[in-house]
Amino acid sequence: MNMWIVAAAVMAAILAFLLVKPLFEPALSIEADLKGDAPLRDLLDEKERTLRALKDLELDYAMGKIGSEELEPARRALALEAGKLLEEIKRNGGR
Amino acid sequence: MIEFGHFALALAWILAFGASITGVVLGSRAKAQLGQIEVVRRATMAVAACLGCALVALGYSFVTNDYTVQYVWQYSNRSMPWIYKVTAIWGGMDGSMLLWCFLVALFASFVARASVSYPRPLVPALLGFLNTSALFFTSITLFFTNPFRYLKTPVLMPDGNGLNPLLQNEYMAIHPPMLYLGFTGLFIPYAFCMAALASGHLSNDWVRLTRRWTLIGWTFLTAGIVLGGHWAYLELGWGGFWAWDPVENASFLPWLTATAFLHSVMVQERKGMLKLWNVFLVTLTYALTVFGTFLTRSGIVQSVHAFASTDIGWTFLLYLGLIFVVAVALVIRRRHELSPQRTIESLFSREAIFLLNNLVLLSICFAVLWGVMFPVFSEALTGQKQTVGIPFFNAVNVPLFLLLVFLMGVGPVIAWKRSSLRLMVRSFAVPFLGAFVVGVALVWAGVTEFYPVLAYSIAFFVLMTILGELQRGLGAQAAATGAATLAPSNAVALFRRQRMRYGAHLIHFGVLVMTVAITASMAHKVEREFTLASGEKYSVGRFELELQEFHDEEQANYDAVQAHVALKSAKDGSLLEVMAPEMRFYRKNKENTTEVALRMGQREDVYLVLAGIDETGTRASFKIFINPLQVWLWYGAIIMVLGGFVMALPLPRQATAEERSRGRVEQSA
Repeated sequence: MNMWIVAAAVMAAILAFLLVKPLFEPALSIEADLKGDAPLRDLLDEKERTLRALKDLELDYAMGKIGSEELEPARRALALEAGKLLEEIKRNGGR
Repeated sequence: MIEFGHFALALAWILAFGASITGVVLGSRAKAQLGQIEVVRRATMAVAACLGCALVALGYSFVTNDYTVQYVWQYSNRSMPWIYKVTAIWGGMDGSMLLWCFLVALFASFVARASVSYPRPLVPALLGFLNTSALFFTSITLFFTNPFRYLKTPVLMPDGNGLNPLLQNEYMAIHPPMLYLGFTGLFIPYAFCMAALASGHLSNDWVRLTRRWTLIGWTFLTAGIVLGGHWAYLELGWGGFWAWDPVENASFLPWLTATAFLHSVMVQERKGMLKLWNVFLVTLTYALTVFGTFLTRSGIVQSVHAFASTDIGWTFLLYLGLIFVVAVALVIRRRHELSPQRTIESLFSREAIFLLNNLVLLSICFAVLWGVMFPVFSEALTGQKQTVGIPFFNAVNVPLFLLLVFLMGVGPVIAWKRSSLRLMVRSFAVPFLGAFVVGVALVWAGVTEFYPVLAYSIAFFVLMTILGELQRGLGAQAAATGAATLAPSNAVALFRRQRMRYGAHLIHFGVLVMTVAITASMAHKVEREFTLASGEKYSVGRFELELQEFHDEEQANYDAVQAHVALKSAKDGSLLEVMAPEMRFYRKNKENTTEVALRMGQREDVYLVLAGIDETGTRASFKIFINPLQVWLWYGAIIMVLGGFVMALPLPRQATAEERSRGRVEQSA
């Protein structure tokens, strides 16, 4: 029985050491921003969605799910949207 | 060892408590020290390590026959093979709860390990929510169902009670852990969702990060449900695999909502729609896993699978309430950010079909939940407990399932945003025509029941659309690369480029195979009861059975009587197999069980049950079931699980919104 108590004590000591250690590491003493830039993040998300939509559009066309008469207007609309988004992203300091 | 296990469990509780509070507090701040987040991350992994130690300690007590431990004494005995001593860990309430909280903590630790590459604003709250779930289950285990309790007896017990004979089956080694992996895996999306709502980091990141975890949980749950069905098929001796039992239903409910989420999340990712709906689905999925646990452990419904009635039901109800209160409060707080960015433009679009698919899945979920809870509602309202049986569930769910399978054929074939009628007619004309021909051919062949004809026709329609989709994909890939359309390298390249898409098709194909198998086994099943004396024969379908002899057997923990029955071809009398159904008597438990003799075949299963032997010991009664295409049900499930794992494999890492907004896209390790 004593053996298990010793094992439990050793386990608790190792865990305590490993858990507390990061608090004393200089590299981890930096304060991180947890809020982020929400408007820019939303714009980047929208840019990603638009690029994804362009990719889906081309895939749907290649697979014969839409015709060329539907492809061109949709592609133009998405390209216009992507252009506007890129400008706005630049204005907000993103890339 | 038992003290060590108890200590490890208590330590896990302390760590989970600390990590959940710290995580949530850090998540609510604007800034936090990296070291503090790292402490929470390490604590999350330490909870899993401690619970792993506790589980090993309990397993050690089982294997070493430590009957000073009440739980070990209750669920094990010396004559049990060692494999059942290990599976007895989750054979009862206390051990199963310990396994459950270990798996919750294990999943949480995997997420914590991966969280170094997650968007930082999401991480503290995510770790906090992961630990609140671990804390709840650890609290239940530590304070209510602690398996590390000594047996209160003045003398040392020489032997234990033993495990329920029905649970002494190889499937018990794998079915419950798989099911629990599924249940516990599905709490990860909830933690991500709540963390996104709490931190306000509601970009696509949480959706993208959570999809893989949802797929992992969903795949394990699928495997767990089907293994449970296979166990029931082999062990319960009624010739079926699914009886709409409350506990089976409890595992099926979160599977339905998780399936709905896996479809609707694609709409959110691509179109910025269904954000609130996805929060609802994720919360409902997690709540239903907790509800399932409540159902099996509260004793409110009767089931062959349920644990004994206990008094911990209220804790689950309290936790369920908490889950919804937290979700509703966070949704109200972030309601403006959850508004959709687009609307559905056309009913003939993939997003509209996905929404319809979600509504059908939720309708099935509601119908099943209603059937499960009906005895409780009826007792509360009329004072009499009334149950609904298999006919109710089949009547409601069969048409809904067929509609779902039909949508499975339609959804992937039509375009996002809008499809023109002309191209839809072109895509669906051949499959529709094929399905019609199949239907007519079946009626001509003598299959006149409505649902089987409809089911086979729909299955054929979906098969055609999947093959058509594959053919168009191969064509597009070949056109882009210049390779031959049917070249294996072209197929491999297509599969690699669009693994998620073709993984989903693989799952759909598995569902299709299962649909055909379930229809065949339901509609064309043959069931007979008969008695035979030695040398007598009985004919059923293509088979003839002849009782040869009875054979007594004595094993370490049971005695058995086997009936040796020759299965012959009715056509030419040739011997196909000697089947040996048996009746067992477990000496320690004083329980009788029947062991089915099964001849699995690609065309049909012959399922023979020894129902009883008369007093003279010369005549036996049997039950036989001829289940057409039954084995294809298991094949279909294997295909589905394979598709799930193909989809759950890691994708090349994409930069998170946070990284992109900082303009420092890092390469994946």
